[in-house]
Amino acid sequence: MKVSKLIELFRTPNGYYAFDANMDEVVKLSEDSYSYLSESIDGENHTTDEPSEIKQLVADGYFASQSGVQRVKHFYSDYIEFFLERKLSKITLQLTQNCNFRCKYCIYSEDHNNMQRKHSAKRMTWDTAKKAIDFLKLHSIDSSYVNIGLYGGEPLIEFTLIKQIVEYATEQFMGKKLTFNITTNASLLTDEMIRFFEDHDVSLMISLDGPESINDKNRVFADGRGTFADVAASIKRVNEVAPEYAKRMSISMVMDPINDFDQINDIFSELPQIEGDNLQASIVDRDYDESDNVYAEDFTWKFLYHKFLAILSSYERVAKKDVSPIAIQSFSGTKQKHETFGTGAKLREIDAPGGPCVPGQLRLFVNVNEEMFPCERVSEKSPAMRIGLLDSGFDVDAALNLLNVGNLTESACKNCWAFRYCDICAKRADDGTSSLSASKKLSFCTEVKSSIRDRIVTYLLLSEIPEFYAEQMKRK
Amino acid sequence: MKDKVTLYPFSLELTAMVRNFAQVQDKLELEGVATMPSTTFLGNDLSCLSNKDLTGFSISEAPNIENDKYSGLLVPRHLSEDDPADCKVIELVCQAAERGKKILCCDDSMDDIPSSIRQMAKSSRQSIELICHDGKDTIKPTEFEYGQLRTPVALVGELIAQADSFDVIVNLHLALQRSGIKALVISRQPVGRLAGFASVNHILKSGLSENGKILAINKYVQELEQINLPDIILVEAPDPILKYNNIAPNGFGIQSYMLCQAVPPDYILCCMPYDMVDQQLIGLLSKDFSVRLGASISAVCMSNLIVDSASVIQAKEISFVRVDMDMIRDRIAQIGNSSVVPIFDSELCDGEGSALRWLGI
Repeated sequence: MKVSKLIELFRTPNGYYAFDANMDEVVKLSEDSYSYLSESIDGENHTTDEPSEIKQLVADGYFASQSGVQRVKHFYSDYIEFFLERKLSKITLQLTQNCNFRCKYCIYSEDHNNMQRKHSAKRMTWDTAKKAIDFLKLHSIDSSYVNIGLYGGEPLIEFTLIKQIVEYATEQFMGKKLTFNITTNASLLTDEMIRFFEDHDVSLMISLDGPESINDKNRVFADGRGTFADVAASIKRVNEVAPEYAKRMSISMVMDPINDFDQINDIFSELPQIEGDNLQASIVDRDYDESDNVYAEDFTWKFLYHKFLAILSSYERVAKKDVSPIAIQSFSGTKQKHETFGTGAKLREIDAPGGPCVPGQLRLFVNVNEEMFPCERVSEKSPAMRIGLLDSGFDVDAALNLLNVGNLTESACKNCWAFRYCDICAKRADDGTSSLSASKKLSFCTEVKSSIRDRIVTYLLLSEIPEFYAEQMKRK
Repeated sequence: MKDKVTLYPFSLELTAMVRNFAQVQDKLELEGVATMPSTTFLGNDLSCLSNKDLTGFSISEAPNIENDKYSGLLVPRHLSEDDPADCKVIELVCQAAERGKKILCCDDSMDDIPSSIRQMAKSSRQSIELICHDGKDTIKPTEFEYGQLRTPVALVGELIAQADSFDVIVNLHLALQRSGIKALVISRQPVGRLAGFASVNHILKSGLSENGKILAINKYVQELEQINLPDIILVEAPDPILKYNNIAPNGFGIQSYMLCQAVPPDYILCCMPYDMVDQQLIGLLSKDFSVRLGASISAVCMSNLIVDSASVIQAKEISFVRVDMDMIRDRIAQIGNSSVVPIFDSELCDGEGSALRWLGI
């Protein structure tokens, strides 16, 4: 039996499964069918006859010998101009390239991440900020709500500019839902700023990486001093000055997996003002770095253990207080993704791998030089990532090129079981030149497939609970 | 002599109404159209907001009530006292009334009109006219008796909100009028009352039980049928006619379902986003509607919308982008002949003949 590479097999303690990417379905199999399919995928000679279950599934359209995708092309390719002209929903403004911190993993570090710009004293002028707001207004006719992100460097260095932006945008977008958010290290936060943000409903996100012992390893001032004490004081101050507003404040935590996971979680006892519900945890981004993350064993297994506890906690089998809020948040994200998994969105003749958004439409980033990028995470030094200038508008061809990053690796993508759930966007094909790199993109495939496998395994576990673990999980 | 008014605030659903203002009613003359401050393209034709055909009216910001040349105001929709932008409109309306300008406020019922405008209307009857359900037929659930309508009913429903159902209603109403056919039109837009359209919004918003609302609508439409003796009843669905997906349920089509129980349709015209117009999907929807709503799809309006699927996932609500009408018309020309049901655009630009054929006219 010849099968395409769009099938991935899964085995749990209770059953055998195949994920058929063409059909976007997980199919439960007998052990014989599983073994037979496994041999087919590996190209081995079959040791048994084709099971009747497989024959029936093949007759029903499963396990096709070819990919359903004939051509890789993003569905919005023909409409990208309309999205960029009429449907921008967010703009992120780089208010300054300056920062009073020198975090060791920072993507703008002078020592590494050579594909990104470096810290500098360049700042956004009011003219540029106003032009960017006008640009958003002009390009969001079809958006019922818009968001303006205040970003840096450290944006609080430019508080006067922030006030001008918030006041001007509020006036300009009257009648449309407008929100603001700011990502800051909070070390410069004053009572005046807190009150201004509260009055104008600016969502405050503060970066903090864990307790003092962890945070201060990486997050330091330019003179090398640790930053924890200052940031913690600011967080406490927000709670004192504006307690209601403080409930909406969120914490961005970048986890360096070289640290002990339990130690990272000490932040919640060290700084009780931080609540798990408002936490956004992520792993250090090294896409533009020359080095990879190093995972300590005490990070990996403890995180996995807490994820397991988070599942039990969601069934009220373990008290929430005994589970890492980071793991609870991570599991909650996985659970939400289940809503969009396996909904039967079959692969189409013309289709594109998941991953790229319409570049610029979802979170357009404008830097101090008035250059436009798909988001704040891409390299400002890469010509391939630049999708226009405020004055001349979008370079639609450049945006289209990023949207169709799947074309770079068409053959591999068409025959990949992870096609629908892949999250590789153009950033991961960016090698700093004016064109995207297929080899760089493919270098992320193993990691992405592994993450999708994890997601499907969790999906299977949750699906099996009512059937196999009902007694243990049932609320007593 | 017609009263001159500026329509304020404009919303996209009113594009066809504005374009055909002189044809749909004969009481007012539209002097201008003003939009909320966030609107762009000031001075350009209103059509650029919906990416549709020209309307002949340009975009202007809130009317200047200091200007003596400016005559009156037409408020086409409900103004919410909880919405800061609407509050600015309410303030301006009151200032205009104080200066003796003619004001017409359209809403679903007296209770929906902002209290400050209602109070001014009481004290200055000459200058403020409230166009809404008059509340004369007080709803008494015990009197309802479900009855059959004798006139054919055509339902115009949208798969997603703002897929042009009101534009279609206005254009169909005019096409029927030109063909000598009398239509009783029931629309969800308060401004429709200016054109003589009825509305059941006041019943849907009432405190009646679901059962009571269905019976009340049925009774209300029966009475309208008896008074007007129409050749056809054209009804605009009050909300999108079915659930979109688990992430964005789209109101589950509950109100449309209730309306179809009260006023069972004989024909359904389905307004679909451009990217969803597909023969297989039309077939599946048609089967579903015939069971659930009482009639299959008789015709499709291809709206110039493309659903923004990333926004559906992220914001858990349906939003869209509007493409050029040329793109719509090219697509209709490509697939129109092979389609099992007539397909046209919201402007009925491919001729009234095909737009009415689905009604057997």
